[in-house]
Amino acid sequence: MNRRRLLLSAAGTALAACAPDRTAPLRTLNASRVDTLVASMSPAARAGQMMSVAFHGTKITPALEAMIRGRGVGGVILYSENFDGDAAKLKTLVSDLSRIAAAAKSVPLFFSIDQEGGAVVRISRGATMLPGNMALAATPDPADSVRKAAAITARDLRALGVNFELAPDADVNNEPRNPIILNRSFGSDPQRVAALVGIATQTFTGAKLLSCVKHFPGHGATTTDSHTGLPLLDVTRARLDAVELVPFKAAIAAGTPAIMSAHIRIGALDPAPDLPVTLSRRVMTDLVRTELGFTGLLVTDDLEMGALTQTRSEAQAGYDAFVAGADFLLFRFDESAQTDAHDRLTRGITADAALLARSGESVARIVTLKERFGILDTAGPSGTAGSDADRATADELARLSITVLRAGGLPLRGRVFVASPQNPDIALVTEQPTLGAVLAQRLPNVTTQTITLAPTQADIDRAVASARAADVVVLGSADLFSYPQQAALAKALQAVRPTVLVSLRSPYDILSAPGVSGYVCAYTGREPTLRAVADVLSGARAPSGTLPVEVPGVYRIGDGMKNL
Amino acid sequence: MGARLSSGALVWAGFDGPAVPGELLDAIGRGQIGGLVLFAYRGNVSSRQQVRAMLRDCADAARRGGRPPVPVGVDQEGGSVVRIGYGAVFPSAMAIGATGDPANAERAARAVAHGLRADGIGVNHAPVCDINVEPRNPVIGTRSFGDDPQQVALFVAAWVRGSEGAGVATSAKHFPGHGATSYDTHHTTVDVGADRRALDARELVPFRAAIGAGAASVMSAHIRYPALDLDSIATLSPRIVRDLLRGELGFSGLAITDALDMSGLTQVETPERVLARAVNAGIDAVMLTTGLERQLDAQEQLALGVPPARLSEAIGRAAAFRDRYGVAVPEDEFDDGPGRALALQIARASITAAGPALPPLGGPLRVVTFAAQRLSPVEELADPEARLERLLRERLGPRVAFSADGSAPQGDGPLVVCTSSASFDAAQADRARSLLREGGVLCALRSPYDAMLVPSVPALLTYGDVPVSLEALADVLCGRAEARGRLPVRLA
Repeated sequence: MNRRRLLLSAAGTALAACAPDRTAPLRTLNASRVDTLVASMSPAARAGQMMSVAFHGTKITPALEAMIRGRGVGGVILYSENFDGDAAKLKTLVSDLSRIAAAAKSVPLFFSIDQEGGAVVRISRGATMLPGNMALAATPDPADSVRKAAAITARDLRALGVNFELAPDADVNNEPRNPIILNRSFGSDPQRVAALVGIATQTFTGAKLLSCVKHFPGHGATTTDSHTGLPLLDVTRARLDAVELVPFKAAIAAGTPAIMSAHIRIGALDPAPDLPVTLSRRVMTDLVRTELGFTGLLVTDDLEMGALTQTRSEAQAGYDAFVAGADFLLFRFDESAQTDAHDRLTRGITADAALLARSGESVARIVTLKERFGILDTAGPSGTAGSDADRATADELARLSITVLRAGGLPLRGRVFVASPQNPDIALVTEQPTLGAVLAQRLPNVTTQTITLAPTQADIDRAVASARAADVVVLGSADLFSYPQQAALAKALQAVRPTVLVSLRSPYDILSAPGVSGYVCAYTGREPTLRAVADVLSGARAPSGTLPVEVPGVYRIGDGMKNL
Repeated sequence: MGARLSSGALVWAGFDGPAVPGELLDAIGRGQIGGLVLFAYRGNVSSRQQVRAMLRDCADAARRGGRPPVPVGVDQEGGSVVRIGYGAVFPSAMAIGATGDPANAERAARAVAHGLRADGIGVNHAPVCDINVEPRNPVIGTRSFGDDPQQVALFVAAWVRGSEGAGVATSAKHFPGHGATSYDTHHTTVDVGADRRALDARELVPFRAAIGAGAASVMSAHIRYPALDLDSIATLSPRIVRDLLRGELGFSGLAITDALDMSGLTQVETPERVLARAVNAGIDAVMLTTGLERQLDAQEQLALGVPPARLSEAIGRAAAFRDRYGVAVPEDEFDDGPGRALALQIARASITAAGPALPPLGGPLRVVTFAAQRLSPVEELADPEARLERLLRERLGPRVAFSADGSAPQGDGPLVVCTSSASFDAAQADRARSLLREGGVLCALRSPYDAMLVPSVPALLTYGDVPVSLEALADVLCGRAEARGRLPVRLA
């Protein structure tokens, strides 16, 4: 495939810019255009182009405008709070920011977003709500499901002008106490995860949407959230090759345009104490570039996360990440950190010829992707987000994913009491109903109680009293290993009535509530999954999902009942 | 279906709560559990709807695993040992024995069986085949049909025919006989010292009758019978289970253990170690009423600890038993009315007058009651004193005076002292003697041997304080009915 290998003279580096066989080809790279652009950029412009920034609120802040106009940042990462989770507002915001960049004659911006589906989504209105990776992997034909979901996401994002999807998650989740990955992963089998990551990546690329696999070299076996501390992955290199690295190697082979690094420490890759992968030259350059041969864009995870800033400033972390080998640095909300980082990078690039050359490579990678994915041409939004057809497909994917592992109490009959949390998923979105509210619309004789993730004894007592007045109980759960109070609630309910545990996040909740009569994995705590789970619990629809992860000592990959 | 079963089919499990714990449901689906046993005191039984839903889950779990429903057992003997209180509750075996008519045992067993099948229960761990030759036996007592081997055999056989005819398996228990002891194997180890000839003439007679009548299972006792085997309790004794039960008595059904976690056994062996020993001795079903981990591990212990030939023989019996008694849970309504009517009818025929002639009844009464005591873990108590008071007030209105504190109530009419196994309670016995010094009537609500406390006064015996027995007693005390029963035990 001649278009897969393109020489980029400015950096003197061969970039593998891959378009997969089965999807529509991207435009042929206009290499001279990239060369010209990069060659024309000052150290300060280069430093800016390597930076992504974020802002608080729905109004474009003066600081953000200054970062775009004055310092030429390469991209903006968008969070729900910037557009109230609303697609139309997002589209307007992207358009406004594009206009600012155009007026400043900056290189057009990356607009990046974590629209993974399931647990992590930023757009909750006006776009299609999709089940997450683990749910898709649970459907009977995961490859087809992942292809459909990625195509829908690409359609939605392109329709809104968002041009950089920070997905798919390529972590192999094999740690039941992982607080941050879990249902964002395609599962615990490296080969299956690898295959689905490849499909998602190729589908995004085929739909002309830039995407990014994360969190290199694998965040699935950690027990600490890198937002709050520095997780340690204490495994051998052989194990990394057999498990964690498998999906990333597959993604590189499938031509992923970008990889995001994790803020975790892996002694087997770099023995330096307290040094996260993101700041490790051995990982970011020796492993990624030299050993794995990745020539695309290497992105950091959020530089404000606790894993980094416990030991250094955000600006210093960004600089160190660049020096270690990162191309695109995700700064967050702190405006002084943004300007400080830009100054440091500019100074560093100016003072050091080697770093100047490095910045040339990084900026060339950035601009190359902007060129290839049509961003340089500010193509603007195209198509419609949240079409009825796509919503119907999302509903069906959710229904296909529901996995029944234990069927006591099912299908629901008689008087049903439902205790369920509001917004159990890690990324909050507004206006989501509880499982109880959805079931109450579906079945007669449903009473409900909305619980917090850490119910008090009074909450438990109230729930038990309601349970006694019912024939069967449904308990929506989220991360029982983190919330023993929920496990206590499950135990108290099961002691008085058959209780069906519906895990709204990871399949591991059964480990903390082993005695429940029924166990259903929904993988996601919001629509359309809640409607899908109601279909199965009520008996209106036979379950079809199978488990994509091993639940140690209890369930194996592939477990799942086909009829109730 | 038998080919699909493994050593797990030999494991019977009990649990806590109104729903089968999820781990057990999973284990049923995987074939690790072969039967369930329900108890009211553990919260397993609260309403027909709840029991049906619970057992439907079990049947579904087994079906998904490609197996027939697991058989589910209860101790629905009648009298003090009843697990299901919402349907028709029958008087005790000894009350049925007191009616003098074995046909009552057959009718009662059939009605009990219909009620159990309505709940999806296919196994009744009854009848008690023990002969209550020891008045101080704390665990058998009124659970036995009497103290005459031939009479007990007649009633046992009738019960077996009635239950089996209605599709509910019977468990003749506690093999080879738990009657001749004054200790409870729930608490301690027990020896029955009778020689072989005495056992043949007494203990074994009802078991032969039960087997002859077609009992689907026999339950072993955790008792040592030195005349049969010096080394092992019956449950673990090849001489008793294999040689005596299978060989001499020709039993070809399911040999099941009493609960292996009873302390009479756990004092000598851990439950884990006894599993294989029991099956090697000839047992086909091991009962583990508690301990989920132990229940889930049992399959493997049996697979490792029992030679393949013996294991496959036991699995074969378990499979045949399961095909027949692992039943579906019905959907249709069930009318308990006929069963309740029959239970009351049998209770009325069981009330027995002993000792001197009763005073004229039908006028005012002064009634003393004592709080019932639980003699053994097998008993699951209600509140019989309050019920008796209500029944008498319904009949006599203001003409009855009560006391529950051991004092003689003020009022007119004969003094009626209602004892509750006072033979096992010295303080209560003293109080009853003192109250009845000036005459009156002793009502023995539980142990019939209470009648011997004050031989100078007439006694009325109910052989248990289930509601129908109390109702029948109330009718006698207010002069509406005669005491027509005949003593099935000797009071000496």
